[in-house]
Amino acid sequence: MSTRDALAAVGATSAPNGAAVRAVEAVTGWLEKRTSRRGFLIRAGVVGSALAVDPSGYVLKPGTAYASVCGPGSTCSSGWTVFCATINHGSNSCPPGSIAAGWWKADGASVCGGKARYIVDCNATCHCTTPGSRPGICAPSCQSFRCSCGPSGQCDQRRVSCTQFRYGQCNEQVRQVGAVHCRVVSCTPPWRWENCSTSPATDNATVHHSAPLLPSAYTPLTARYVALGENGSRLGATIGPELAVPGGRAQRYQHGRMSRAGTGSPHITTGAIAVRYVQLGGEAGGLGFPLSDPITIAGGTASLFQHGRMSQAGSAPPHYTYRGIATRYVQLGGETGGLGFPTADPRSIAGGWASSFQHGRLSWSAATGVHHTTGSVTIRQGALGYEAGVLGFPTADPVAVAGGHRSRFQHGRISSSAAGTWEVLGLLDAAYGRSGGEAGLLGFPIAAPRSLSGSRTVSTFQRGRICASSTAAHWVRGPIADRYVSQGAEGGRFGLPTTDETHRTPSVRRSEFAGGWIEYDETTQTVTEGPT
Amino acid sequence: MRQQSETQGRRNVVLHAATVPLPDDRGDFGSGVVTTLGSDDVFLSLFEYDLSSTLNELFSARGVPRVAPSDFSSSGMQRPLPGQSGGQWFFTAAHRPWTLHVVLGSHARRVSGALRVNALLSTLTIGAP
Repeated sequence: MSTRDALAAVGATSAPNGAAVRAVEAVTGWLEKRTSRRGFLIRAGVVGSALAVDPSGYVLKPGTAYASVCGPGSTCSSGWTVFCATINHGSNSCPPGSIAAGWWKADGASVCGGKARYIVDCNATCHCTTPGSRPGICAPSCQSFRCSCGPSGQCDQRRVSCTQFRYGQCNEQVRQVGAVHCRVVSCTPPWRWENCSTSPATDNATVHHSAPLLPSAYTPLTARYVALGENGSRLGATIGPELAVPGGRAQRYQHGRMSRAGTGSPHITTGAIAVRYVQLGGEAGGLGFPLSDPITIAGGTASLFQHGRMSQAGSAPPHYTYRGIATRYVQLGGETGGLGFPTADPRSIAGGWASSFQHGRLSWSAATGVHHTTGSVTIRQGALGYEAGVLGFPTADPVAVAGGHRSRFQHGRISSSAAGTWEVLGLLDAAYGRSGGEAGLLGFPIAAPRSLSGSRTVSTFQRGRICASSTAAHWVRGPIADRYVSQGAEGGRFGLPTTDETHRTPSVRRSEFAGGWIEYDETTQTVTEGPT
Repeated sequence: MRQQSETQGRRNVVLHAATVPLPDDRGDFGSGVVTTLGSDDVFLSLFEYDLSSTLNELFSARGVPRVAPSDFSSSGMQRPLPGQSGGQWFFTAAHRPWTLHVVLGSHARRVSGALRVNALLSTLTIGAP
């Protein structure tokens, strides 16, 4: 194509902007005069779309073929610049002391699904300027980094901070930068995630450049990352290549992780939840693969995993729940339910597990299943040593009763009312049950059980008391209990009750004691005792 | 001359000139060309940016520059190659932001190379956008 023809072609394709052609009319005239000289040519053409696809390149050079190679021009003497991932702890981002200073694209990149791959130069920052120097690159004396080659032991041996060149489309407000420190790659145009303009530059010679610490193929994880916006997403830059993990794949990022179980959908974890997830072993740990992206909930976030859930209240450390406890937690409304956010990771207790929450606790044992406690009951449960204490594991969820509520445990109960929150244990609890419990003859407990001499214990209630030996417990109530107490109760002449209250006649109630009896006549409202 | 992809409803211009044949498949700053330069050859790229960039400090210099041999360095190229020399100038002309990138086939012959480039630049007229 002659120069004139080429310009005509350009003019035809740039009709809305004829000035673009005029810009170089003069110089092309200068060039035309010299076209007869050997080797002095100019050719013109129109660059295709910034997102032009090269299907053949994708077909002939599938991404997986580049998994372990650095591509062409990977030696230090090649003149190209190293990838930031190689020198920045695997992070595909500008290292400290450098800023994005320009970009170009390479079309038909297999690592971008056959679309354009964008390469962003991270140029060193300058610590001084030379008076009178022109915009662009500062003097070498104002640059902090020394020219070197990529680290040994890997194939990306390209140059570090050697090339005094600026592509120019990024951070244009910065008058001068230093040498190109390293390169960042992305399938997303840099103006979407960096302070860059849209002026497209192209260099397809770099399309197969790569490094061991960069993602090397267009996988489902890469596709998802691209859809999220790559470096501009909440995940930030990639850290290292995609990883094979037991049962699937994973990719690390500055601010999170993406995981894919088998052929399932990739899901991300972010922030402190991702950090804790990795501490717990990630995909190979107890939680398994994520089943959701982060869930935004009132007061925090949560992530759902194959075998549990992790929740974070505000900026507090995240905590996880596990298996059956996590399932029950979700059934109870999760973080926005009655229990609130977890305040600790699961604790192993002899025979089971437990998780603490802002407003309660969930416990599991093989013998009892999963049950929760809430509010003051949980506080009292804690005071008694939780599941390892005298109560053992809860055997039921809380039950509302008139005036309060009750939680049952392996070795007793905790009842809560306006009279307080108190436990009733062992034989005392059995006797309490015979009296009808909280809604029965005695009402709610009003104090903790007291131990007496001789392995005796006593619990007091709104309308009576229960006294126990090491083998039996019985309750007394009302005027009979009042007389019993006035006579010294368990330490008095009557000693322990030997029966629950009975009716000697329809109107006369009677309690038997080791040292006698007490009766109450409901008709005459009199109390008598014996033997006299 | 080639035109970049259309952005913001406008096509930016890239001008390439060289004393060697320009391959069709070449980078905007000389990739695919500079490896063919002999010691007397030169390559020039005039690359236009988005018009809004004229407001930025990088393009604060005004007018088409003239190059001096002292402006060139062996590391001043998009891809430094042994023996070669390069330089780069950012400027605004006709209210349009540009960078001029020049690669000389020989750093040792940068005096004559600069003269040839300036001869070319003296013929350059840039129109308004």
